[in-house]
Amino acid sequence: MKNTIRVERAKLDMTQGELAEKVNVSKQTILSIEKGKFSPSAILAMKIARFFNAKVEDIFELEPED
Amino acid sequence: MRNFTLYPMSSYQGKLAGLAIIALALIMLLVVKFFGPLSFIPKLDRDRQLILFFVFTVLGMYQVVFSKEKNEDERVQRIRAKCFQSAFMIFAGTLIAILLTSVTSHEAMTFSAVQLCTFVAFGLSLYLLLFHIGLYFDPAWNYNDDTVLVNIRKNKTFFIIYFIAIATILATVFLMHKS
Repeated sequence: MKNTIRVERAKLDMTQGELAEKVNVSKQTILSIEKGKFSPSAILAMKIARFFNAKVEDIFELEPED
Repeated sequence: MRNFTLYPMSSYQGKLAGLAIIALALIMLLVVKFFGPLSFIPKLDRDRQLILFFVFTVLGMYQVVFSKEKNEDERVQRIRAKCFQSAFMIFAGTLIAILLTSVTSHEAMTFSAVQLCTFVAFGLSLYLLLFHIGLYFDPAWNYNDDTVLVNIRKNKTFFIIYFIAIATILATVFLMHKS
C-alpha cells in the first residue's frame, strides 16, 4: 500500500516524531508506514487522514499486489 | 461490552523489573559458581543454589517476555505476535527433534531440572532475540505472512544457499561420526 504521509508531513513542516505523537504511535511506526513496510490498521489510517484533514483514500492507495 | 483480558501482560515497568531480576540472578549464579554456596541459604547445597538462581534467571526472562514496551502500538503488537509464533514453531520443532532421538535410544528419556530449565530459557531467549531484532531492525519478515512454497519461490537464492549449508553441516557431522 502506497501513501503520501511524507508529502503531507512536508507540507506542514512536521517531523515523524511530531506526527507519531499526534496519532499516538511510535516514531518507528510512522517510519515503517512511510517506507511501505507496515500497513496500518483502519483506525490508525483514519487517525492519520483526519490529522491531515484529508480522506483515507487521499493518503493511502492500494497497489496491484495488495 | 465487558472487557476481559486473558493473561494480561505487565506494563513497561514489569520489563525493567524482569531485567533487574535477570541481572541479580546472574550475579548470584556467578558468585555461587566461582566462590561456592551462599552461607545465608544453608539448607541448599551448591548444585541446588545454582538451580535456584537459574530458575530465577528464567523467571526474570518470563517477566520481560510478558511485559509491554514503553510505546506498545499496533506495530509492536504485530511484531510481538509474529515473534511469538516464530519462536513457538522453532521451540516446538526443537523439542520434537529431541523427542525423535528417543526412538533410537534403548533407555527411557529423562530430563534433569537444569535441562528443563535450559529448554524454557531457550524458548524465552529465542523469542526475546527475534522480538528485539524485529523491533529495532524492522526486517521484512515482521510483516510478511507467506506460506512455505510461496516463500521459497520468492527467495530462491536464499533457500538454495540455506539447503546447501544445512546439507554440508549434516554431511560433515555424518562423516565425523563415521570416522
